[in-house]
Amino acid sequence: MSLKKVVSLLLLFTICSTVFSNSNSESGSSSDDTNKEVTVTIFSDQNTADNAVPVIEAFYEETGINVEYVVVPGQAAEIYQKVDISLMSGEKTDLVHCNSVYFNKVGQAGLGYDINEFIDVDPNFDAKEAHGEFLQSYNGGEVYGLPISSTRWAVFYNKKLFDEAGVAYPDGTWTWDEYIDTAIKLTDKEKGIYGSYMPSYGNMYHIKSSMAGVSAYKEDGTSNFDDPIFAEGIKWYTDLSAVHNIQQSMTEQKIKKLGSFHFLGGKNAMMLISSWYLNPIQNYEKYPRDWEIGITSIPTFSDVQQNKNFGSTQYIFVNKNSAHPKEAYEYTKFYALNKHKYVSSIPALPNVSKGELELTFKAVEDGTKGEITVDDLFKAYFDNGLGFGNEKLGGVIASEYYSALKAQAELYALEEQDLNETVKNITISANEAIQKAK
Amino acid sequence: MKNIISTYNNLPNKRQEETTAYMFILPFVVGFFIFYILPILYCFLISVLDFNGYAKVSDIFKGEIPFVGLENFINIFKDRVAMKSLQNTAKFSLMFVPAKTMFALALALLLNQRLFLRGVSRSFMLMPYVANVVAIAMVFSILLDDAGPISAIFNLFGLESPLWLMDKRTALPTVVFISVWQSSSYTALIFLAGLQNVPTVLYESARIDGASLWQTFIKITLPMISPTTFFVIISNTIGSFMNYGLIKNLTDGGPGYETRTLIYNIIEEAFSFNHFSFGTAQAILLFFIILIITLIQWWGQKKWVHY
Amino acid sequence: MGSLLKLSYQQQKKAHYIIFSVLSIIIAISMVMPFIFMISMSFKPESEIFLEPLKLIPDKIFLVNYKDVFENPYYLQWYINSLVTVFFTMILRIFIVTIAAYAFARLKFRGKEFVFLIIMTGMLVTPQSTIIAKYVIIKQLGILNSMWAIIIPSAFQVFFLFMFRQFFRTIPFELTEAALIDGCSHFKIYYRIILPLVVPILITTALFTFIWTWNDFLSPFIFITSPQKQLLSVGLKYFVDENASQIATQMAGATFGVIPPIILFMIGQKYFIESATNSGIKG
Repeated sequence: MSLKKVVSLLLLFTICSTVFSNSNSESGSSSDDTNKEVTVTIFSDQNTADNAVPVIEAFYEETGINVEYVVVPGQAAEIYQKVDISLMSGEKTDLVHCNSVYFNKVGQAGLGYDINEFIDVDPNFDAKEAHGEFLQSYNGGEVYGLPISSTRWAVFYNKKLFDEAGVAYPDGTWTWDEYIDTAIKLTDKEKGIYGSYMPSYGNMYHIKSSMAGVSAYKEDGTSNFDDPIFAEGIKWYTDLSAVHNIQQSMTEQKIKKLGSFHFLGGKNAMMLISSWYLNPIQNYEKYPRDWEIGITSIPTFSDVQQNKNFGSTQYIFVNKNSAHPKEAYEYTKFYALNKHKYVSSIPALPNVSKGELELTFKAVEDGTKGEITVDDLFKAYFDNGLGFGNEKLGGVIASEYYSALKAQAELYALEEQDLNETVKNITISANEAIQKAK
Repeated sequence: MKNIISTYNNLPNKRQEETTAYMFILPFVVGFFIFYILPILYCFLISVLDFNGYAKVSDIFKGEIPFVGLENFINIFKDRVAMKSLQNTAKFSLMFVPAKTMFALALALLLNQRLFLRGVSRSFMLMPYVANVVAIAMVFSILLDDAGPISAIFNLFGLESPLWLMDKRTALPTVVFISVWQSSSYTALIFLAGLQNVPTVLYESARIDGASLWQTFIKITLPMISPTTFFVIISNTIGSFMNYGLIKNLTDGGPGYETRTLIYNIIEEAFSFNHFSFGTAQAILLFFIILIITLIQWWGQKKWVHY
Repeated sequence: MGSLLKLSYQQQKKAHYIIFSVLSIIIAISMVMPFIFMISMSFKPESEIFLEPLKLIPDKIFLVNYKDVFENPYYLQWYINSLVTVFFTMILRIFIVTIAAYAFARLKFRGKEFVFLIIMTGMLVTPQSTIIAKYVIIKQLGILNSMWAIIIPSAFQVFFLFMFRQFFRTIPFELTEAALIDGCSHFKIYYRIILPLVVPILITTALFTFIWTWNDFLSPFIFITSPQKQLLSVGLKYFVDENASQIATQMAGATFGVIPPIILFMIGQKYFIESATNSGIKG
């Protein structure tokens, strides 16, 4: 084929496809013209958008407002980078799904739309009453968004691996030492089976302080990482692989890019994860498995006085430049009050009735074909005598905290530095960041 | 000949030539102004402001963001992570530029020979460049894994394989190696284009004079391709500072801070911590570092580049 | 080496031929190996990837990864978007860059060195640090969320300007002087004499523009928001879940995405190498 022919073929193809794609967009815009309905747009990741489909339908039934999810692909850091740029340059996308760290940043910068004006005149909704402590306000009482769910942690386990090893299922009142003993019994390296799995997200390094309810900040605002509990937490998590050999090392997890769905592959007997995981375990098509799953409550530290379960809150907030703030608020409210009816999750509604939670958990029971029952879920998440605390390190320098924690804990795990140095370095970095943030 | 040159230098022609030249560069210069100069000016502007939180871009022009002078720049030298990144960047470039230039030149020299299956070899050598960085990073992670083939080869010789990307000592060189592997073929092509412009007559006469391959290379090839080499070294030097994609996907800056380069740090400061001014100040520092190196190379070219 | 020197010229040539051929084949294989692994992994189930990484041909060809990729309703659209974007980028960039390079390399005008040096500094800017400013500019130009947001900014590529200037300068002035005296315009000289001389480099540039635009992630990710207008490089990210290691699916997407550049490489190769020797550029 001569070059001329190649070029002309390419050109022809290009013209055809341009015409094709143009006609597409034209038909899209014309349908907008005939339809005078309002469409609220919302930034989110793929999973959240997939899960939200029934919520959008129900919301449309009730209000006649369309909701369009603008899915940003990629990892959390990339998603927030894109949303950052959009918000800062004054884009009009109405809403954003986000975690508490991001919500806090937006809140302090005042980039949200104050929805108090709608809440105040809403006869059926008292945000403070409904959300209690989960409701966040900034800059002297401005409310930019509502908490849509609040996760809690629990241990999921693979019943088949328990049966094969002849180990009894955990009953939920256990300490971490018992957890480790159980995991050791379950580990069978020759078959490539590990007893435990805790994906090396940054928050795994501070499980201990989270359960003990120790803050990462001192009263004067400086870093509290020199509190011995943080060192204990890092050592404890690292030892799971380095000493007890009950799960993949941090290095192996990083090289193989093992995420939390690795557990569904059936090679790890137990996994500690938060309640969002109730959704993937119901998706047999995407994550097929030939074993039954169980759930039990998080173990406790025997040297911690009052162990707490912990979790994080997710939010939807209204963009300051939203084109339809009223409708955006309506959707936020609808989602916050109704998400748990459509998506398996624990609502950020402290006064939610037990009956309503039962309905949510019943859906999980049905979704898992009875592998996990309503009773199991109440035991694992609520009726275990544990209190509840915040999961994230939080505060203004949350991102810096996690960055330093990740790098330093990695060096510790690779035996490049000892525990003292690790904790000292994190404390210094955190204090520098706190100083800068002032 | 003299006559021609004097007509060529006639004034009307000269003015005409100038007008033509301005017309020719106009589209580029306009676009360059919009998409390079304006953003650079914006960078300079925010690097002297305290835009280290989260605010709207329009606030900058309303003067609502406090002016802090050179504070962001001074803070770079106080920031341990930034200094470590700077150090890593220097190490990376010092390994990357010579390795890539030499390897690419070797490839080009090889491909310039009469070879068995030359076309196939050449296509194969170009493959790494076509591949997607994310996929490449993943393949290398798997190949360099503890249970992977590379450590199997080491074990075969009774040696203990290092952890490559996870070892403080080997992480950066490994990243350099992968980076060279991935990007050399393009440079090799540029060299090849340069090599094929060397008149064969020169090689013929060298052969008749009885020069060895090595002598021919030093005395003829190297001087003849020096403009290409100059271009390659400059663009490789600049390229050695822009290594975000591969590092992000291979090591995420780890272990610890061992492979965190300045560009990685800039992006983390700006987009994870929202320290836009501090991140941009580092970008400007990087800009001046590259500028100085490039200027030195530019002035140095007179000594060894033959047009 | 000593014994080599004693051989006759013909024998020596033959020895070189064998040594270099073997060497080039070894290098070629080692260069292409990771690439082969990528293709091989795309045909394996996720769980097998780490178990036997060396097994190049899996026991059973596993096509689910490709099914995952093609089941996405937008996949084909992304492919087309990428091709269109890349094509226009190539055309626009080559024209704008080469004509400016011609002026910088072969015409005399006031301020030439200065303007060129300023432009050179454009190569030194880290694209990520100017992304916010670029976003605002692109928004002002009204081309946000369209393929023009990718095409127009990338037309003004400094690297290629520098490269073409270097190559244009090596073309002897004698070649064009005669045409000038005959009253040829500079545009005609650029179009009729200079461009045909650098066809191999033009094709190389086109190919690499293709690859860079094809693989570029940052610009389309930031400047394009609607999924139906997105490009393939970003589209592939829709398959990656933060919590899952869908390496195999990613490999399938990457393997399939690499086909157009490879085809172009195969077609373009003979132009960008062989024709250089016949181009008449002699030092």
